[in-house]
Amino acid sequence: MSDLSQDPGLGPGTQNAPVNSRTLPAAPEGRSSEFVAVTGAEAESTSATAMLVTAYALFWVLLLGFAWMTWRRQQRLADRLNQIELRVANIDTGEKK
Amino acid sequence: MRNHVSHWAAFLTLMCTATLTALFFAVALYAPLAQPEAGGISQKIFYFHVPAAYALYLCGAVCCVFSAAYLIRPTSSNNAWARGAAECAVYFGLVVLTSGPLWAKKAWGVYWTWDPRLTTLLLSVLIYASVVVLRVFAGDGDAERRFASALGVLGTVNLPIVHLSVRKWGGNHPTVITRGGGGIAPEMRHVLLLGFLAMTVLALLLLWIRARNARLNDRIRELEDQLSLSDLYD
Repeated sequence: MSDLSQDPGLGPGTQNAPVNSRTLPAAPEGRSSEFVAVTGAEAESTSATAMLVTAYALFWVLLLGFAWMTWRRQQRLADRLNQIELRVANIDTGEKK
Repeated sequence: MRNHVSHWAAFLTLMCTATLTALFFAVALYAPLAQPEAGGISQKIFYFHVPAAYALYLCGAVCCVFSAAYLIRPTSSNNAWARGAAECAVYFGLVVLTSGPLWAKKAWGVYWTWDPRLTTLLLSVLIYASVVVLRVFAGDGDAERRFASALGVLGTVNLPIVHLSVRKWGGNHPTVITRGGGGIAPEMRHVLLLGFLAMTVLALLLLWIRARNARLNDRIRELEDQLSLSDLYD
């Protein structure tokens, strides 16, 4: 319990958190035989590093997604420009004939 | 002129790559760990969460200025900048709204809470998203553009409320770098300033690309209309 509460990655509320049954030995007498209501914050078990990495990855995923959407739009504009060029070329050819 | 534009684009892209790379290494290697109550190592989300919020304000301000300008003087350029700025505001809003909850999970114990700043920011992002959706699905006529511009101005009116919400209504958000706050360590301040620089350059680059894209779209539509008219008369 003391090791868990001193982890610098853990958030507030862990100092007074209830004992996590997963940290206890799995002896039959150590298992929960009932569930009782407790007050105070739930023990935080998610890794702070995982949160940081996920947030940073999401930033890049969103940026690359935005860049990809911009590129797609640019491609569509290039296609429309090609269509215009073709139509103008056809008009020019028709006028020359 | 074309050469000048490509130089400007190359400069912004280089600056953006350099500052984002520097920010990555500064966050990983230079920025010290914060106290466990602030989220421990997850507090490092702060270095791009807060600058992204600032970039959202920047894009919102650009959207407001050009939307108002379009309402006064409806030009293609004003419309393009207003449209591009709303799109960028949604992007930075999504960065803030995805990075914040991950930090909050460690610092507050929950991903989301109806804190005044979170709620007002969500409202702002939803308004900018509605501007984007309106422009995509409701056509691109003058009436639709005016309606989207009015919505863009209204979305920005909410931004000062987002900023002042912590001071006025409290909530869970820390007040370390605002007035009355305890401040941050010098190394943290350096990395935060780098974050602001990186997000400013990124916002300028994205704004410029999206506005240019929208302007090009207008010019192509004008050419298509002219060609259709000439087909009609032929």
